[in-house]
Amino acid sequence: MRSLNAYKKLAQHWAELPPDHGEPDVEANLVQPLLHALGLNFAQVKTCKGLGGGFGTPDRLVYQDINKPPVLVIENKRRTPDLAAIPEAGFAEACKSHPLYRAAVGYEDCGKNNKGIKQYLDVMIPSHLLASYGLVFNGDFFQLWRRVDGLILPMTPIQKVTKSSIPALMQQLEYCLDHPHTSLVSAIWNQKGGVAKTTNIINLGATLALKGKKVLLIDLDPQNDLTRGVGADPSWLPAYLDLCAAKLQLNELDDAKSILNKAIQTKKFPTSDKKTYTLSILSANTSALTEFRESRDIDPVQTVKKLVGLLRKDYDYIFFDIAPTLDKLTLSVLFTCDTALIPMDLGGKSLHHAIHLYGDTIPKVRENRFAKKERQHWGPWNLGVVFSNCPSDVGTALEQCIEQELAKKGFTGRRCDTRLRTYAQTKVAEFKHVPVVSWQNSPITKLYGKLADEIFLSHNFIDH
Amino acid sequence: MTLSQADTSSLSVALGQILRIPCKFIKGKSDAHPIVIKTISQELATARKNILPVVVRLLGEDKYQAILNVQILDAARQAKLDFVWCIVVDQPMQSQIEVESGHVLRVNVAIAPEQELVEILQYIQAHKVGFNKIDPGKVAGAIVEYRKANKISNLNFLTKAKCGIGKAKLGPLSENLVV
Repeated sequence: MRSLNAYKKLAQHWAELPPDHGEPDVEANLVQPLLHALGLNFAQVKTCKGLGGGFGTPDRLVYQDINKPPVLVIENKRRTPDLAAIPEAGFAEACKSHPLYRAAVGYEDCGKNNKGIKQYLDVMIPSHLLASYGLVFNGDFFQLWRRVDGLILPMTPIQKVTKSSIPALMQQLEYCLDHPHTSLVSAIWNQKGGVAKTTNIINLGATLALKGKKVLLIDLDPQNDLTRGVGADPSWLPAYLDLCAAKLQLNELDDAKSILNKAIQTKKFPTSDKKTYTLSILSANTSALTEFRESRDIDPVQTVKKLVGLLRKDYDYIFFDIAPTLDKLTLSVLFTCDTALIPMDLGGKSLHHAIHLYGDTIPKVRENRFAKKERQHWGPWNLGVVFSNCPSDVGTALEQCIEQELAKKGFTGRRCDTRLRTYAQTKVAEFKHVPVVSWQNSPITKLYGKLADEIFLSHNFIDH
Repeated sequence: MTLSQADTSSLSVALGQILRIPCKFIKGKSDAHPIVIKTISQELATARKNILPVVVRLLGEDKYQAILNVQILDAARQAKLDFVWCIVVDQPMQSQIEVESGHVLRVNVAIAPEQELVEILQYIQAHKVGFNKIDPGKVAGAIVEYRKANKISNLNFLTKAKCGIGKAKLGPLSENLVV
């Protein structure tokens, strides 16, 4: 099984199915052969197993290893001629508002009792029943979703099932089965400087590391504030970027990985309550980054994408630090990352840039990645805007200004509940080159804990 | 830099620009004399980078076909270089390059002045095998005479014009004399 021939046979089989197949028929005549073509045996697929706790009963739980949690949860729906008739070009857009697709995902507007992927990937589900990926499928629409801790986000676009698309869709399923855990790659960025981008990256990363997560921080900002902020050396292996880019271009991936392994620095930090945590840092100094950015011989986007591809299996979270300017390095990261968190202070300039980034730049990058036929790890998705560097006494006048400006710009995006305030301890940590969350009793540590929980660790569904 | 400027430059293979491409991704072998390849190779072994680019066509992801300056690709391989600097072209650009590089000479027999026809036939006489005995003036005269009374749709009429052009010569001739 798992051969192109098997997928072509499945495509032929799909072409013979009527466009009004009911859900049980879709399951018997399409889902079952599809799972069989992936080489899964009877024991690896559990049908209609309740998740308990009011989370519902998905159509299938798919296991790679039956002694481990499921990799994939599937929600099937019936075929309907109106969806089947929509051409591929406008299919995804039309699907978004179709009740069958929305019910499969589990949107609230489909009724209280409806359960979909959103509920089946809830982090509160017992771990032995909690999958890493979700598939919504009706024989015409196909979309994979992904869960990283509490965060649920689209993994692929909504794709139309056609005779010619089936082999590629099967390869997406193969990838999920073969990679039950891959890191979430995030940029924390705003085009306005001085909004605590680097401080947030260091401390969100450190907070997650304290929770036992493997975290890599990649410093692509020529100022190297992140690297210095954690006491690492920007010139640890200055030529790694150039060497690695050449090996990646030559598709000599083992050599590239070996260079990366040498270039990654690990820093172990003690906390005030006698715990320790480790951060990995990949850094390049100013001249190496400038050379990389300006080089006519290297395509930074392809290099950064391939580089991240080599590291995805090694970490739970990868965070990128980039300069506020929209240069080639920044674009490489936006064209690579899965999610973006936008920090802003309580000023008009950062708010202006945050709204533009959230509502315009990020969706445009995503469309562009779709147009370039990127399907797996498609993004970036908005994690939200987070108010940072907030004074303790904001006052109602400023709050009103912000609300009025957001209303004027029609911003309806996600605003993180957690507001990060300024504390002297953050500056002390900067001087000591350690994350401020090392001071466990500091109020800012609690705020970073709250933010990490809100965005990454508790149930958080994002789709815009 | 705006997003729209950046996306095309950063994600697609840029046509017409000099790009570094791994030698192993490019198909093609030149018919240049081994001593020519060796000389270029010695130069590249020192310089590490070719100045004159290899012209390549994109065949697929990481797959190219060398179409011009292929001797430089051979030399880069001989010098054990990982990369060679290339210009990626599409079909229309390839046609233009073939004309620019003098590999293709075309004259429209329906409208070209007689003198131009004589000149191209002299070129054919000098460069094409089997054409050394033709009389360029006689062939050009036959074309001019024929087109006075007829619309030229192909070169077949030349075989009946008793100007030294037989059926076997029509194929090679049509590479340069077009309608």
